[in-house]
Amino acid sequence: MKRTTFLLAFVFALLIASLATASGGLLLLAIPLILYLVFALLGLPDEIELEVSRLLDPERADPNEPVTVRVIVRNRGVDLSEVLIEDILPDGLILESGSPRSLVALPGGGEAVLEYVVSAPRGTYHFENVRIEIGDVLGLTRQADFLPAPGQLFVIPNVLRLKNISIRPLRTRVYTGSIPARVGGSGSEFFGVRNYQPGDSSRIINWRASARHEEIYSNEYQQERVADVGIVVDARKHSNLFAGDHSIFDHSVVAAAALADVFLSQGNRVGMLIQSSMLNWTFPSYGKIQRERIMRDLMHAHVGDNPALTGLHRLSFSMFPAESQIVLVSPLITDPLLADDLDALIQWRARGYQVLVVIPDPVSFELSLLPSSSESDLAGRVVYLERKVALRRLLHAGIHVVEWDVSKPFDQAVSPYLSRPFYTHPVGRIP
Amino acid sequence: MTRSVLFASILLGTVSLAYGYVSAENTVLGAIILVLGIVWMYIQWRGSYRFSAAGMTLGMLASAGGLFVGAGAIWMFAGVTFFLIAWDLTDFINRLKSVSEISDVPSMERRHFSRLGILVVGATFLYAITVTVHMQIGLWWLILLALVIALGLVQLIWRFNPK
Repeated sequence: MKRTTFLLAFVFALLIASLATASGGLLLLAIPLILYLVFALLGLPDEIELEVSRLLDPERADPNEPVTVRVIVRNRGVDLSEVLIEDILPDGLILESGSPRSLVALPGGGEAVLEYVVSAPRGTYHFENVRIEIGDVLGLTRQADFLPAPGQLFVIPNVLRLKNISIRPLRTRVYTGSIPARVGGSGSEFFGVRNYQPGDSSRIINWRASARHEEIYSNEYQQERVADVGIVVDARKHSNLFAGDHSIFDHSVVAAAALADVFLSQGNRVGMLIQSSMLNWTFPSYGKIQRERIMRDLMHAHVGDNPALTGLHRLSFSMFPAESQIVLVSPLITDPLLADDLDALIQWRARGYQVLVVIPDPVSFELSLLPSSSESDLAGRVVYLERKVALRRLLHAGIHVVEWDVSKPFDQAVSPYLSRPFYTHPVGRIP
Repeated sequence: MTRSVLFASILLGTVSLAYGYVSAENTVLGAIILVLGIVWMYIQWRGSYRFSAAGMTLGMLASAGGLFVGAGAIWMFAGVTFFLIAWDLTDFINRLKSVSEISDVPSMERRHFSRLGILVVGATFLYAITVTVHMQIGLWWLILLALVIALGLVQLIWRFNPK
């Protein structure tokens, strides 16, 4: 029962009893109650003029990094004896310290600051309203309202810095970059020998070859250009959830972020496709803005299923320029049901794409979640061997496969394998 | 601080009512009131704040009943006033407990006590006027007065109807 109603019930009961018994004494007993009601209700402010603002420090954070939220409430009106400020936390935020609720007294012209620290997993978090509850001078009645205090917290994936990734797509773009273009010209890597042409620097003359023949020959170097890189991130539910609902997808996101970062910093044109309940396509482009687009898309990425997009073979080749580099980040389950994925990769390769597959190792991930026993160890070894056999098909098709034990940091675990060039024999092309 | 004032209010209210009853030669009822007051204090001391409404109701009934058994009106009035304060402070403590962060609790408590002090002084002043000034009014005037009070309160609450 509301406190006002409770008191009113007593007052009316006393009034009626007083009238019924014609007793002035009962009316006397009602005096403190009536005075209390009048005092409280008259102490309720007529108009409330509050301004609320919000500060997030920082507004862009790494996953689980502490973020300080400050809600500043300014009172532009009359004195308020009791103000309850309650910030409404978006779902998914974890309160680290402080409290999003505070009871303050706000004099006219004064301000109150509500401060607390949160952390969050990858994603975007929208703060909208702050709930303000104002009581009268005795706290008998309370007025509640929601005041807008918008704010956005972006928790972007961790970007681990890789030094260099050596890729060799068949086709490159015209701009100078760091990828050998299989075309002679100025560069750093030896490409071949040709006849001397007027204007050639004496430093590139191949004196040994010139001495053997009666003509002068010059060394030719391989041109280095930028290339098209398409990153495909596998966010399908059935290939990312293990041991119940434990997802390896966050590791895939970390890998994709690091790869996108290094490819873009090398000057390449990078696009990204996230295969989840729907296809999320980040159109290929260059530079820092593209990096930002990719990070935002990775920030929102989550696992999902769509029966129409079960296999990698459903992806359209028109999304990636011909003979470009495709990087697939996927746990690549070698379940018989998903054997189509391996065929799809081999098909990509056969169409002339250079394919790099980065695999967050699902076996070690799942084993780390299971209680250690001889049975689970044995099962792990069996699955490991099965995967080795299945993945060998990819190696034979000329696909660069890098497995990442997710218990180690991505940059440290895969740098040695990605910085070396992976030369493949050309395979037949599908007519 | 608030807890101490709360216990003092319950104690004073109980003693006032019990004394009123005992002075009207109703020792048994006075003893029952004392026991109920001790029970209320024990429950408060255990940290349960749900008894305050029941305590206040019992106190009001005991005060109204005391007037009919010849207990002194001043003691009954004191009982109601102290129980009202106890009921108010219980809710105040609840509000403070429901929020983990409160800025400057002592000054908030001080302001609340000062308002309750004003309330008590005002109520006592009105009581003093009422018992000092004797006016003979007829039943119809009494009904009119009661109606005015009731309508005034309803109007006040309707005006400040919380959103």
